[in-house]
Amino acid sequence: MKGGMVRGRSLSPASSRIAAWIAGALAVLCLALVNVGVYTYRIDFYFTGILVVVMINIILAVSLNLINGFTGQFSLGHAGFMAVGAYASALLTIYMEWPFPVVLIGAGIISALIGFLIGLPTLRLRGDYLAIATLGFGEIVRVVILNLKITGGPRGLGGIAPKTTFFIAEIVAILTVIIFSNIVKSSHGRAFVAIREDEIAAEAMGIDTTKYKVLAFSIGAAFAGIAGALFAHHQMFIDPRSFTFTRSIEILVMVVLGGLGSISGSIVAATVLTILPEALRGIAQYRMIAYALLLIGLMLIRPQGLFGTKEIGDLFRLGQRQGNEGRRAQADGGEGQ
Amino acid sequence: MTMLEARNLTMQFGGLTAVSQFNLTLSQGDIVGLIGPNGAGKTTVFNCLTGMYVPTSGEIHVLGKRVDGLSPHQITRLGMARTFQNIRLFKDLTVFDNIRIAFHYQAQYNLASAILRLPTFRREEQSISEKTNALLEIFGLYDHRHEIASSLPYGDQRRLEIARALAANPKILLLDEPAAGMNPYETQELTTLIQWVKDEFELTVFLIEHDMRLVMGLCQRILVLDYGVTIAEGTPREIQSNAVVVQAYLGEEAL
Amino acid sequence: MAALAFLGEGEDVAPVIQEILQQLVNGISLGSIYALVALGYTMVYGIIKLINFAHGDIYMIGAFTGYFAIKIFHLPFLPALVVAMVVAACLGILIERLAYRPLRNSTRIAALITAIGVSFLIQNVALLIWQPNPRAFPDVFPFRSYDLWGVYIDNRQLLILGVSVLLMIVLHYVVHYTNIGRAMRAVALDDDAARLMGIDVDKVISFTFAIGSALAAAGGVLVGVYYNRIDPMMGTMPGLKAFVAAVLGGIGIIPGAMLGGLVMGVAEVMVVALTESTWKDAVAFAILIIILLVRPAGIMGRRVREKV
Repeated sequence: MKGGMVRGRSLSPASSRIAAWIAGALAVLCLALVNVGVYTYRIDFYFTGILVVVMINIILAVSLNLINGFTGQFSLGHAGFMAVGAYASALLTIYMEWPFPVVLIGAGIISALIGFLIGLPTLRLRGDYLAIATLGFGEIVRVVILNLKITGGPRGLGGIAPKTTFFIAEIVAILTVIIFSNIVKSSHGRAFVAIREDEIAAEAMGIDTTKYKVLAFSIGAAFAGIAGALFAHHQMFIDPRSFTFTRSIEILVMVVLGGLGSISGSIVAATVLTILPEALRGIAQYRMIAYALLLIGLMLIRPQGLFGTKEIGDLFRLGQRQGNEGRRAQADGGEGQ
Repeated sequence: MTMLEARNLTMQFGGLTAVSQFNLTLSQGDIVGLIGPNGAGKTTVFNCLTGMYVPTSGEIHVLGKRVDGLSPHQITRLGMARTFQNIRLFKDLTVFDNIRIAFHYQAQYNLASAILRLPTFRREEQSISEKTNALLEIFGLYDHRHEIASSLPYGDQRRLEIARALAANPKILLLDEPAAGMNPYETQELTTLIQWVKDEFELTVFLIEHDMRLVMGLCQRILVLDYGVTIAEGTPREIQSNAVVVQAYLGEEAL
Repeated sequence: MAALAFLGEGEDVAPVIQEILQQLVNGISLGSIYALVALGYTMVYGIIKLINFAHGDIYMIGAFTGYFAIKIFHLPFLPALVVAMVVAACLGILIERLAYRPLRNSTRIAALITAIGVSFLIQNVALLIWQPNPRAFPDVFPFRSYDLWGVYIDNRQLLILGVSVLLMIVLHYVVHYTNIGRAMRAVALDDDAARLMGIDVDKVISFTFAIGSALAAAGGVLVGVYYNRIDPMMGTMPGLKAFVAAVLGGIGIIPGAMLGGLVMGVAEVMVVALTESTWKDAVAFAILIIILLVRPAGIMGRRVREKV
């Protein structure tokens, strides 16, 4: 398409399209190999489970990125929405016995509604205040779950049918990525980015900033809820400890590492940060320390994350910097990175 | 036809009255200037008119519709766009995207057609890109369209902001110190550009400016604000010879 | 007496009043600790506009330092308290130097993310070294309770009140009557102007972190004495609640933090008395969300308009 919304000089549409094609082709190839591995049982049952978690984390990271990265509203409550989706879906499966796709959509709608109700008042707050308010929301969700009977309180909710297959997780993750890419590359996506860049100017350009902030929040919440539903039907057991503030931070680390405002960055970061701790299982107790150091280090050295606001396709331009447009970019320092 | 009307507009911050009993009537095709010493309340008038502030009292009508109390985006959609004194571009985005964002509310497709990439989406995006490029051509920014807004020279940034305001499809354009920071040559160019744009897009223009050559050369009428009070109103010639205005600008001793 | 009709026939009014007074005593004790921690949040926010997420963890470090000082070095209570405060002050200065100072000119969100990172780092290192299971804080003051007309107040509550009031008086003196205090207030108002006046802004910021951290450490030690148990995760919830207290009172305003802390403490104790205690953590955040929506500047704050 038109090369997306990119901080920094964007490519001429043609070369950007080629680069995006190459990146897309590589992603499809990886996914195809993984699928062959899973269905020929070359990838064992255990690792397939990890791949399901990768898909769930991709959905979580991409959806949080819409709120935190593209719209610039800092939410620390993503685990709360995930919890809403997880419990809602588990209850729908257990008591209503709905088919799984319907349960997933139901979980998404319920989380979106909660996101809407929470977002409407809190999104008037700015920056760090919003962060604390959403953190508070996440904690309230956790305490409510702890105190309700139907959720099993602190003992948790078990006996959830294992309906999240690798295939389903994969399909939902792919759909999520397509949906979010298409949103951010539309006029609606530009409205989100405009709010991040300058809320007052966005408002002066006719953008209903309140509506779009709540919209970003609700869409993000919906997909966090769907991810929670996949999680519940993968683990078969959920309890409030799965959805603490630490979980919100884990998702945040993925978004920040990949780049606030880069969907492909979130995909890469979610994948790496899910598989890497498994590969280094011997030092599992250092995982949160590593996350903490990663957050601090990133902010000090590369606050824009690995990809900044760019997508993988845009990174291929390194090779053509010396082109006629690139020379000017260097001359006027337009890179800004 | 009356495009913009303010009646007894008053804005107070705590005990401070920033603007008091401000009245304004703009007819189709008018180009009116608002001048006054620093801190006279000019930008506050703009902020009230565009909905950034809700006036303490008074009424504002845009194209016959009462707008005080509406949000800025609603007022913009009624046909009034503005620029800012301190340039509020989306400075980390490209020139192209800065303009495209302003077409947002005119885009005739919903979220679903964007997600599904329906034909309406493609058609509208195509049309937005074409209109954006056309605007960039007019303002001589087409060659810079893939550059980052903040990397443009100052004068270009001012012009980009005017172009962006035009992309919001206004009938009334409010310019807050469009020539600030420009050299005389650039100011001269800008004067010509504003006049041309006003005729081409059939606009009604209300502008704040300190550069008297621009104001006198462009405006049919001028309002003078001092300490929030309108102390004079008239043609450029009348204003230039108005003793009260000279006193406000130069102080008592000048007389 | 119609208003108290729910008491039922034959019941005495006195027990209800006694109960309320008792909860008030408990609430004020807890609230004093929140107030001590809230002061650090409010002072740091007032000066560099940063929610120092790691503040609750400094409070935890303070409690552990006090624990080791008493348990291993056999220090009496007061010297142990001072040691904990000094160690926390140094840690506060160190964190500011290494993590926050390099980010002073970046976005507030970048600084907030860093602060979250620092908090997680301290917490998880502590978990690794000290293990998650709680430890019993040494019994420095054998429990004694006094009966004041049916309302019980124990010596630990008196200790908390005494130490908190003393520290707040010291803080008030430092902020209002010393050079460094005047410098702090100047930097809080306008750091650029303060710099032009020859104030060493970096030094003032370091000092603010030191004082805030020392107060948090005092809170940590007092909590150890009060509840008799400490663990590496103990800082998270009180840290967040103290932050809520700071916002409640009006962030950046020192008396506001004290007031907010007391209100939070009383509210929490009342909720525990009236419902199941599991709801108490939700109450703090409910208060936060309500205050941010109704009066974002806090009880004692004034609204600031954003400039267009």
